[in-house]
Amino acid sequence: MNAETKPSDAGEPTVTHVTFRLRASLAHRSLAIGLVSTLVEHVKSADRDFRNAITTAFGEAFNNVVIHGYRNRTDGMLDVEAELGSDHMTLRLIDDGVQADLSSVTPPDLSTLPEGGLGIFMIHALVDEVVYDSGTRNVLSLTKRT
Amino acid sequence: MKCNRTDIDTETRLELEGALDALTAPEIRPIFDKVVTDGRKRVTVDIHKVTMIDSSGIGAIVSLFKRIKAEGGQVLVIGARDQPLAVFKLLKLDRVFGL
Repeated sequence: MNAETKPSDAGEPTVTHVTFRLRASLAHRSLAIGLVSTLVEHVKSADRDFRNAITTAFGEAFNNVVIHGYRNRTDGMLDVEAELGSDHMTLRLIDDGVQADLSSVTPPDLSTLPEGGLGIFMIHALVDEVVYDSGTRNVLSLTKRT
Repeated sequence: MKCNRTDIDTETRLELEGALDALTAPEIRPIFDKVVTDGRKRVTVDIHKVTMIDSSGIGAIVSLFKRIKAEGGQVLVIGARDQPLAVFKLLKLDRVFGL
């Protein structure tokens, strides 16, 4: 894990960047979520709802990378870049698995009690901004503001 | 993830503990399946010790609910708090399960 805090320029809020890398395996899911939950403590204005939202969204994104992106692979790695501000958090999940367009989603009909297909909907519902870039590597950016 | 099943008269109580997610839901589904095949009609799922739930965990509980209901039974979920409660509310399941 690496961490770097940008020195505060006049009038600019301090932003801390933290990166970590781990094997994209469901066995590491709780570890990854625990790391994100710990990072939330450094977003000054974050409350419990913020923590629940960003960790839940991250967990769904993590599942997507493992289950879909690295389907039939056991060697996949996930890089996570976190940007921590006083009033926001951005998580970038970077993988080199199969790309999937997560930038848009058709809302499920919740009245039918769907048993699946909820992950992407949940991500969009829980964070303020979702950006997916599938260039050389797939980069999913999730931004949550307080 | 732990799941303790207790049958008292016609009611079955399932007490879950830990994270119910993409890793653990496949372990729990056979326990849910057995409740269905045993013909239990009144099922209570106690999740007050569930620390985290994801869409896979929700899918397992909804699947149980649908199958029990199809046989004329009912499923209640009790004890949801913090992150699990937020997810149930997000998916509008709090009213379905009586939370």
